[in-house]
Amino acid sequence: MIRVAIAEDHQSLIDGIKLFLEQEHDIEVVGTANDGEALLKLVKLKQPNVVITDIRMPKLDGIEATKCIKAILPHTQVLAFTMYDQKAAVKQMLEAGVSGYLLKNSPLDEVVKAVRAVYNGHRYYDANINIEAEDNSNTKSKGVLTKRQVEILRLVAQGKTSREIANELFIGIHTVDTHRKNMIKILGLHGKGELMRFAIEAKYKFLP
Amino acid sequence: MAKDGLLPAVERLSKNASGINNLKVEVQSFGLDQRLENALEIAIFRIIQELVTNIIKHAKATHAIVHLTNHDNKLNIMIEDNGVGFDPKQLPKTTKGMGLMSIDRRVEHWEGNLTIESELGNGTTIIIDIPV
Repeated sequence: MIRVAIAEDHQSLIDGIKLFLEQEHDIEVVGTANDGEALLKLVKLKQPNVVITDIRMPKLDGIEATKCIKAILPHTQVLAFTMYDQKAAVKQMLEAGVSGYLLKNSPLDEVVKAVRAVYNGHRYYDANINIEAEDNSNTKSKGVLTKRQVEILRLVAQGKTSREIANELFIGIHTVDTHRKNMIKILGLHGKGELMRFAIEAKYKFLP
Repeated sequence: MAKDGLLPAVERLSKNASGINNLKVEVQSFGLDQRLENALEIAIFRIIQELVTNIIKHAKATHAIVHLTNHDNKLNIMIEDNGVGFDPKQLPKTTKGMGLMSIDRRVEHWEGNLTIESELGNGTTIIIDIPV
């Protein structure tokens, strides 16, 4: 029997996965949690074989929760289940110790396959993320944003103009614009609109 | 430098400059895996070297970041520090201004442009775009 715990801040999604998984004769859902702290408690108590976790969760995110789980129960396999497909999120989850990475647009059949795969000691990655590319990107560029750049993104997300951002951070407007252009390049985005969307979706939180 | 290329040279420079006067210099680079023309690499290195020296000598900064971002047709060099800053309009009267003017001339020689953004008490950013 594969004993599974699910962590996810959207209860309806938990209910859906649970319902689906429980139809499988070899899988048992031993508990669910809506945030990272609750997940840790649950994992300590029930010691599941596989944990399915979201990245973005209240209190403790999936990255930190995965690190803790792998530290206390190294044999528990963690499967990331998230909407984040960008390299930095994948990389951080891999570094935290996940054995699989699945995007939330996957069918539930995939989730079952992934649970079985990681339980059996295999790795399981969503076909839509490129793990190979991760490793290459590592050596070429650090691909990370500086503290200042993250600050600028935070303000971009609030719809502020470069001038407003410049005033708020006590830097020049040309400095802000240059950071914006550089971030578009570094993150592989196309244009200001995409940078703003990136900022609003707060994807930068998952950059190292 | 001629052997390893621009980025390792700049990284070495930042390492050597770190620790002097409590300064920490970091390098953030993107897309510099290909070598540039040798003369251009040397010119860019000298400019960065001089700007970092300026920070050590004048800025009283504790933190500086050298950004090198390759935009395919141009290289963006941005050096930020959290030092005392200055009024860029007052520059030409000082000797430091002479240094920056000479950098400006060299950047122009490579058909690039240089922007200085600084304010008393709020650090300095030097931004250079050079076609590559």
